[in-house]
Amino acid sequence: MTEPRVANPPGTLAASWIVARKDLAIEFRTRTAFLSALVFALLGVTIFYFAWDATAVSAADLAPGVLWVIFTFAGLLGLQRSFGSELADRAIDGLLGAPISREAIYLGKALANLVFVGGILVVTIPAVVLFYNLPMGEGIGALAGIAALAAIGLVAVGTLFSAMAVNTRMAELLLPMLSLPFFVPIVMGAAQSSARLMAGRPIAEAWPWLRILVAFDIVFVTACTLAFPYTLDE
Amino acid sequence: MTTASEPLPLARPRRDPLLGVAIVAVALVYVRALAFTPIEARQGPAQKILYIHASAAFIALYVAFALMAVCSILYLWLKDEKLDRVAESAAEVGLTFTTVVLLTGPLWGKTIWGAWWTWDARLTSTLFLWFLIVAYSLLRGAVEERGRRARYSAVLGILAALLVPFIHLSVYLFRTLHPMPILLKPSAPSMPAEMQVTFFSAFSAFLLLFAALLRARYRIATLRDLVASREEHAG
Amino acid sequence: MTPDNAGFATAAYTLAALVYGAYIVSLKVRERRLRERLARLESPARPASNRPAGA
Repeated sequence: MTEPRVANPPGTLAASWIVARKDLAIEFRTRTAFLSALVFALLGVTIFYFAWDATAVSAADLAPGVLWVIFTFAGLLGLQRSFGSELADRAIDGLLGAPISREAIYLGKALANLVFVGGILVVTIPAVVLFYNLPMGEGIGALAGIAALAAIGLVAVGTLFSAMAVNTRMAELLLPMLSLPFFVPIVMGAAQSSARLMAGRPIAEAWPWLRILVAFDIVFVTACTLAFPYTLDE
Repeated sequence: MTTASEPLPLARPRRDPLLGVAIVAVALVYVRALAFTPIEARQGPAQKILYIHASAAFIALYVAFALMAVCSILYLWLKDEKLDRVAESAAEVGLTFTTVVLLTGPLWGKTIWGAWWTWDARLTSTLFLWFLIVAYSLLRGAVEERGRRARYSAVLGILAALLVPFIHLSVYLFRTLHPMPILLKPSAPSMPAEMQVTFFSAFSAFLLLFAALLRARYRIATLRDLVASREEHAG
Repeated sequence: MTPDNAGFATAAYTLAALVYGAYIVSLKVRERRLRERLARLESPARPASNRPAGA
């Protein structure tokens, strides 16, 4: 029996986009994971608000920390489901049998996670600005940029560890344990730079932290893309 | 993938002279540091913590962790099981040394900074090293199949090695922009000769201890894998 | 003039010795247990074992 051959197998970037669309389509069909993570993020911001002594710490001092810590944990929730759908019945074999590079699978999954995390940020950042009465305005563009950089780093590392953790007995515990040390430079860079921006300080002060974020993203997107094939059983 | 047949280590126990020598060396260093090394005038006797703290810190990061990272890369390239066993052993022995750094550091810090913990750059990096090695060990514990366990560990080992410079950089940047309490700077660069001798003796003795512990731990890894293969065959 | 903090030094040296010592003991115990299991597996009259692998 001859196997049907694909006439022109898609290149890596096109293949990534196909994998991402598949994952996002599955996600949007049910939306439960996204909505759960979203509600978790909003609840978290609320709880932090009530744990805050407004006379001791100003809103501008507290809000960046709250934002990026919540971002981390909501992101982890999203990452947990990343490879879960491929586990049942070895569905991942379908992906592996397709004529696409292993790196494309990783990039596609990461891209889907990026959309997921981005969606959460789009709601959470305005919520934080609202709850803490932060003076925004011009800073919103820079904040969006910081959020994008942070999300890329989080998703790069988290997608790779999700691929490994899903194959273990204690996936829900293992994913945070593996990922959180790696999230620390991201949270530091994002929190420190956004704190300075929210306090109205010149962008030059945030620059060293932004450079760390950019360097982190470049190093870890590359490293995780290269490492991903080694996490597959084949 | 891994093969079931391996060269058989002897089933009867062997005495390892290296460990005995290392223990004696460390004991001698203890005596020298505590009884025969002068007390530093400004910091007092607590300054002697330097000799065990700094040795453990250097060995944990630049020997244990470096070995773990190098063996991880080599394993992904060469697929030799022995490399995975060395990485695993380096991690566990490194964890012991890292724990010593984190226990002796605050004891010393209390006397020079007046606080048990101050997010000092090196101590914080060591804390992260501790977390990373614990994560590495947990990952290994969670994966049962040997080949996959080795591959996953190797990936984590390499990524952890890439993370360390970022932690150093971030914490350094964090500290320079946040004033921290510093009452005394620990150990000025020029140490009197007697202290230098103690310093290098301590470093050598603990390096010897690391080598001995690594070898013992490697033996355990080999034995464990051998027992596992035999039990698979026995059914 | 010189601060009186010898207690800290003693505590640190003792803790370090305890940590290294405990680890050495743990290594010896684990090696002995593994060799016993190996000896049981290699002896001719061994029963089938369902014990899970790993130390």
